Amino acid sequence: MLPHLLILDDLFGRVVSGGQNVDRQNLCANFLWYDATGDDEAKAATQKILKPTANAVFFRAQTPVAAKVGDVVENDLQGALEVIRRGWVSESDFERSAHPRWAMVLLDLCFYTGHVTEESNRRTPGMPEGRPLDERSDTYFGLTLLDAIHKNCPELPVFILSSKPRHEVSLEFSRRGALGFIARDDLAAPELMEKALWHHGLLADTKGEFVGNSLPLLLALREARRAGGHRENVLIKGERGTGKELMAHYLHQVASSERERPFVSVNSAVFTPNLFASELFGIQPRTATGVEGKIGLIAAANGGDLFLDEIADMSPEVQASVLRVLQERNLTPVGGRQPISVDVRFLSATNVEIEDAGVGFRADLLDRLRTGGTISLPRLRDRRSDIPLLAEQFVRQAEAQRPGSHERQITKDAMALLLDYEWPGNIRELRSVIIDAINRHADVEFLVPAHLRIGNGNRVTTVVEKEEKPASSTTPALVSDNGDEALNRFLQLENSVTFDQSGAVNWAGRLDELQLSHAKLLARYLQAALAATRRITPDNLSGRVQIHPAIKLITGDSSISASKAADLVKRLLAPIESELEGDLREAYQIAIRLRPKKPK
Amino acid sequence: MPEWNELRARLNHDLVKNRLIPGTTRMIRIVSGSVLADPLETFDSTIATVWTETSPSLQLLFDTCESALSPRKYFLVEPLVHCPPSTMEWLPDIIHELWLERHDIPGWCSTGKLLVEELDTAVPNARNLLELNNGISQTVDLVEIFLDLQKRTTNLSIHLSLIERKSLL
Repeated sequence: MLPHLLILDDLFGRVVSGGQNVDRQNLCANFLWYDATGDDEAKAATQKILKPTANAVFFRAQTPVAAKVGDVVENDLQGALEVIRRGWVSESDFERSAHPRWAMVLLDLCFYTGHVTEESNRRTPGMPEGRPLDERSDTYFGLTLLDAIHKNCPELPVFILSSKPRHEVSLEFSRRGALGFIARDDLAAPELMEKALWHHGLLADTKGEFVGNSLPLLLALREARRAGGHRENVLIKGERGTGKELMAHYLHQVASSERERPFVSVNSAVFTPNLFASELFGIQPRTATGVEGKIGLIAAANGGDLFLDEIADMSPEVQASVLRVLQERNLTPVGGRQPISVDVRFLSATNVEIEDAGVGFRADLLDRLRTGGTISLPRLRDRRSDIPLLAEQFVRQAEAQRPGSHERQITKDAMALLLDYEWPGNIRELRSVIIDAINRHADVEFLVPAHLRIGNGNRVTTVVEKEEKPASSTTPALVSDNGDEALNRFLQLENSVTFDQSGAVNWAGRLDELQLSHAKLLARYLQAALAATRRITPDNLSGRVQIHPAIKLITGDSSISASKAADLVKRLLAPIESELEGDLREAYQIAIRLRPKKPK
Repeated sequence: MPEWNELRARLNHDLVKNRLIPGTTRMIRIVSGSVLADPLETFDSTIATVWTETSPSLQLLFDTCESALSPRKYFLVEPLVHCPPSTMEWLPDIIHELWLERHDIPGWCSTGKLLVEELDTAVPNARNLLELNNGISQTVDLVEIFLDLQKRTTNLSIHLSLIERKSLL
């Protein structure tokens, strides 16, 4: 996925008419950006970037955007902030946002305001004459924008893209929190931009190892890319199941793009007091005694990275030995006399607050293990917007391991359940839940709430009053977040109903009522199945009613034909046709459309 | 001088930095095959028309530089305007000559004119080559032609910026 850039610039953001904004096309060609603005200028572009490096969205940050002779152009701070917020909503709101997150904002400094005259329009179509304050470095509108961005979206990376000389403005933009400056007329600007984006931009993992676009994840990945630029030791912190080893691999990859370096991974808990020295430092071979040599883990990682997982489990002896290696940059194999120098970057991971004195981890070792910084991996509950993508990936992975398996979808209700859970075991737990659901329900096309055993299956089934029709219905409805249990209870209730003779007289003449009640019960069952099998698409997030999958779900018969499913829907709903609403009415209409003949 | 300097800054910013240099870069992208567009049409809209407008303005700029920037003009306003006529006979000219000598204003003007003249030739040449290639855009020759054009326009921009420092000295 290409990173999304927002460019706030009066020259490039203006709309002239019919693709006359040559400046924007020049810029896009120079930086190899796809113009994703969607305005008239973007639509009228006369060029196609073959391998774009980013999607660029341009905004003038002034009104009117499409200025003509006679108009007065004024800066538009609120409009600019609104555009910024489109791609910078909070984690909790991100699911509802249809706009991708900004990887970076590029900001011009000088925005020209005032009247658009014949002369100014002739020089640059749509541009005004300019006012004296526009060009004063201490009153640039770009700096006002920068202040506002810093105040409203402090995490949003901002770079200055300007044709002004850097030395004139560096103090102003630096102290306002911009991360850097790219001179537009610098011939190396595209390369500088690429580096800036890599180093400061919020980029998803293009290799797909880390799935997600949430802000906490993107910030962690950025820290890793920054740390990848040097050979200092890095500490990775995160709860169990957050992907610490994956992060170590990511760090290794971003640092090793130019040449292959070894990566050795080991769990520190396996080091016993007797064996750690030979494991870590290796064994010097001795021909005389017949002792075979062994390369230690540190030497095996020489020139590359050694990943030490769960470092809090290291015994004091191991801690002391590792500290010596870090201090002296050499080691002596067991049985050896000559130390050998090593160049190893230590990537360590822990899921505990290792700084706490109670953990018993040496502070001097800890300092040396994080000379290159600490990367904190977010908990899954802090990056909920990534759950749909992760769940989808785990479903696809599970299917890939089952040749011939059909494609599954996670229903809206099931997804809501996944999004709602706290995930103490983080991504690993989510994966287990999905894999477990697929293993136990190999032949379904939809994963519904009943398939998901979340939180070790200790979920609560509740009986609540149905609130939809309080006036006409006082019957308690079985509503459950665990379909199995709800069904069991319902079956138990149904099986226990008896019609003793003493009461039978009271039932006389009420068969119609019973039939109607039964029809309503079946309709509710269908309603639940319709909700569970809604088809969710990017352009219809509330989902579309599908009768065929719903009937498959009810009957458990995956081979049932569409026409038979339509017949069943008609048969189920015909007795209560006049009372149908919402999904049920839609389902009935679909069934009638498919099978117009009257049901038998 | 403010008008002259304003014209110089505007020509450099609006036309050379914002149009010609990005235009040549875009042409490099097109002829090297990373951007798909009609080379001739793009050249005309981004470089040829801009240069037609810029060239005479730059000529005028270099022609009028000496008179517009000379410190001789300070003798026309307060307080130097009160210098005795005998001083006025020689001092302004001496000051002017020293200024020319110190900042090499003639050299700056002649170099600027030369850069413009070279571009006056290079721009139509590039267009002719594009026409000759007639749609065959991915040729090394064309890339080199536009790299050269980019270098020339960049040099022109740098040259136009040099006078800022000269006039301040």
